[in-house]
Amino acid sequence: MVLPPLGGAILLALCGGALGRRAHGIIGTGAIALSFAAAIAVLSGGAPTGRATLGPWLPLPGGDLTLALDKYGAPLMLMVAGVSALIALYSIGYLAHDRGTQRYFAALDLFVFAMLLIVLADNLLLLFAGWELVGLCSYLLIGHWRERPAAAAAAMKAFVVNRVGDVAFVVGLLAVLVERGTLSLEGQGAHSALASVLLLIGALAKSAQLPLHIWLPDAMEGPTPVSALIHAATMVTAGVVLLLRLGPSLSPEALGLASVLGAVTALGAAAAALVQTDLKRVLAWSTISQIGLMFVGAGIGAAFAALFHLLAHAFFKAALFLGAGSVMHGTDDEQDLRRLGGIGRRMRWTAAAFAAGAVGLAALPPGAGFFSKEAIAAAAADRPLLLAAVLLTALLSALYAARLVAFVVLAPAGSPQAERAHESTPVMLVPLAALGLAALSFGALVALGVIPLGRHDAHAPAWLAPVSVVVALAGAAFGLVRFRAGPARDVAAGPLRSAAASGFGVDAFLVTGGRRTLATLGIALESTAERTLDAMLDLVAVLVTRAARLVRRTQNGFVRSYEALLLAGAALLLAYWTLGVR
Amino acid sequence: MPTVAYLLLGALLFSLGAAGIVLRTNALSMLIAVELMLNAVNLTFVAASRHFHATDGVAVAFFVIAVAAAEVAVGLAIVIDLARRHTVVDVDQASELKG
Repeated sequence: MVLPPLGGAILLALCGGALGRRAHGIIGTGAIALSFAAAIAVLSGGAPTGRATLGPWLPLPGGDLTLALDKYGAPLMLMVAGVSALIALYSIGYLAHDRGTQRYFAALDLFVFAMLLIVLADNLLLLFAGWELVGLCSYLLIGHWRERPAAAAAAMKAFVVNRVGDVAFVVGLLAVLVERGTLSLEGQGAHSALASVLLLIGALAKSAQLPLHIWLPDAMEGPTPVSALIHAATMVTAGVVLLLRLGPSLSPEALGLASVLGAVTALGAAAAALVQTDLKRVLAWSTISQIGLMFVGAGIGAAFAALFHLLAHAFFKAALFLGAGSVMHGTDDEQDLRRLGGIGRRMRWTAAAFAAGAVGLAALPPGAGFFSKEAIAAAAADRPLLLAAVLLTALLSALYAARLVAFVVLAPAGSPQAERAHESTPVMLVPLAALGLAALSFGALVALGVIPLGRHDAHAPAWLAPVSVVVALAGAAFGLVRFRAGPARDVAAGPLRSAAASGFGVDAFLVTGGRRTLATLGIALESTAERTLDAMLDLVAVLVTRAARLVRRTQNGFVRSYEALLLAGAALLLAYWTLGVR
Repeated sequence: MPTVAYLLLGALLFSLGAAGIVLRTNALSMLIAVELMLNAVNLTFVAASRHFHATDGVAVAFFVIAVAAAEVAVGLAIVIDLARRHTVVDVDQASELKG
C-alpha cells in the first residue's frame, strides 16, 4: 500500500533518463494510483484497524518498521493517495513542456510515500522519517524551477524554517523516549508538558502556523500542482495529523497552546489573504488560515471536526489550486489578480471547478467547508473567544473566496493575456472536475453518513448553525457585490491593508531578527575560534620550528663530521651488542 | 698464525682508516682511508673463512672488492669535480649542502 510510490520514485530516479516525458508522468501517476487502489482493496475487506511489522529497524523500544492503521489512518490514507493521484495526473498536462519531468515525478512519488508513512507509522521514529522525507521533497519540489533565484530562495526558506521545527521534534522525540521508554504510538499515556510542547513546535513548523508560517507564502514559487499537493493533501496537514494521532496524550498546556495559536493564525492569515494581489498567495494565506482552524479543532479535543476539516480542505483547496494552475496555464502564467478576469466565459470548466472550490472554502452550503467549519465551531461553542475567532475567520474566508472568484471569474479581463485565455487539455480538466465535485459533495456525504467518517461528539447550541450560514452567506454576498466590478474596487488602501499584505510583519521580523542573531553568534564564535583554535595551531607550529632548529645543527655541511657521527653511532651499536645484550 | 692475529690486524687497519677519514681534509687521502677500511674488513672476512673452513667469507670478500672498485670510480669523479670547483680538494671547503 505504501510501497508503490516509493517504487515509482526509485524507478524514475534510476532509469527515468531513458524514458520520455509521457512515460515519466504515467509511471509517476500510476504508482500513486496503484497505492490508492491497494488502499481501497484493503479497506473494502473490512479491518479498519490493524498493525503490521515489516522488520526491525533501530534497537530501541518502538523502533521497528511497524505500520498501523488507526481510526485516522483509513480516511487520511484514502485522501492522500486519491488527491495525490489526481494531482499527478494533472501534472502530466501542466508540465507537458517542462524539461524536468523525471525529477518532478520522482520527487512527487517520494513525497506521497513519505506522507503515507506519516499517516501509517506506528511509532514516532518512523513517523519522523516520513516527516523529514516530506521536508526534503518539498524542498525539491518548491525549487523545481531551480534556475529561478526566487524559487531557489523559497525552497531554502521552506527547508530552513522546517528545520527549526524538526529540531524541536527530535528533542521532543527523545523526551518521549526518556520519559515513557518507548516510541510506539500505541497505548501511550500522557506526555509531559515539555515533550508535548516540543512536538507541537514541530507540528507548527510543518503546518505553517504562527510563528513558523513564513515559509508557505514564498513556497508559491513552485509549480502550481506542487502547491496543490503541499497545501492540500500533504505536508501542511502533517502537523494536524501528528496532533490527531498523538491526540489526548499531549499535555493540556500544549493542546491549549495549539488552539490559541491556531485561532490567532487563522484570523491573521485570513486578513492577509484578503488583501493579496497574487492569485497563489491568496490561496497560500488561506491555507495557513484553514489549518489554523484545524489546530483549533485538534487543540480543543474535537478530533472528528479537525479531521473532517482536514479532508474537506484537501478537496476544496486542491480544486482551487488546480483551478488556479489551469487559469495560469491558459493565460501565459499570469497570476496577478488585477490582470486576470473574465475566465468565466473563456474557460468554462476551469471556472466551474474553481468556483466549486471557492464555495467549499467560503463554507457556503452545500460546499465541503460548510459542514466541517460548523463542526469546529460547534466544538468551540463553549469557549467564547475561540468561537468568535472561528466565526470571524469564516466571515473573512467567505469574503476573500468571493473576492477571488469575483476577480478571476466574473470581473472583466484585466490584461491582453486574460483576454486570450484558452481552456486547458482534458488531462488537466478531469482531475479538476473530480476535485470540484468532491469539494461540493464531500461535506454533505459525510454529514448524511454516506461516508462513515465519524460523528459529531459536541452538542452545538441551536443558534450556531443558522448563524454560521448567515455569516458565510453575508461574507460571500458582500464580497461578490463589492468586488465584481474588478480590481478598481479592491480593498481600500491604508496602513491596515499594507500591514495585512505583508503578513503583519512577522516574516520580516523573524528573518531580520534571525539574521541578526545568527550574525552576532557567528562573530562571537569566530573570535572564540581565533583565540583557541588558532592559538593551538600556532603552538604546534612553534614546537615544530624549535625541534627543527635543533635537528638542523647536525646538517652542517662538513663531510668529516658526518663521518664522525657515523663512527660514533657504529661504536655505540657495537658497545650495545657486546655489552648490553646479555 | 692464529686467527686472532688476523683479526687484530684487521681491527688496527680499520681504526687507522676511520681515523684517517675523520682527521684528514684532503679528499684523496680520505678515499685512500676508505680503501684501507674496506680491505681491513676483507682481511677479517678471509680470516674468519679460514677459521671456519667455509667459503662464505671469501665470497663476501670478492663482493666487497667489486663494490670498492665502483666506490672508487664514483669517489674519484667527485674528487675531480671538487677540484674543478674549488681548485683544492679540501672537503671542509665544500660545505654548501649544510642545512
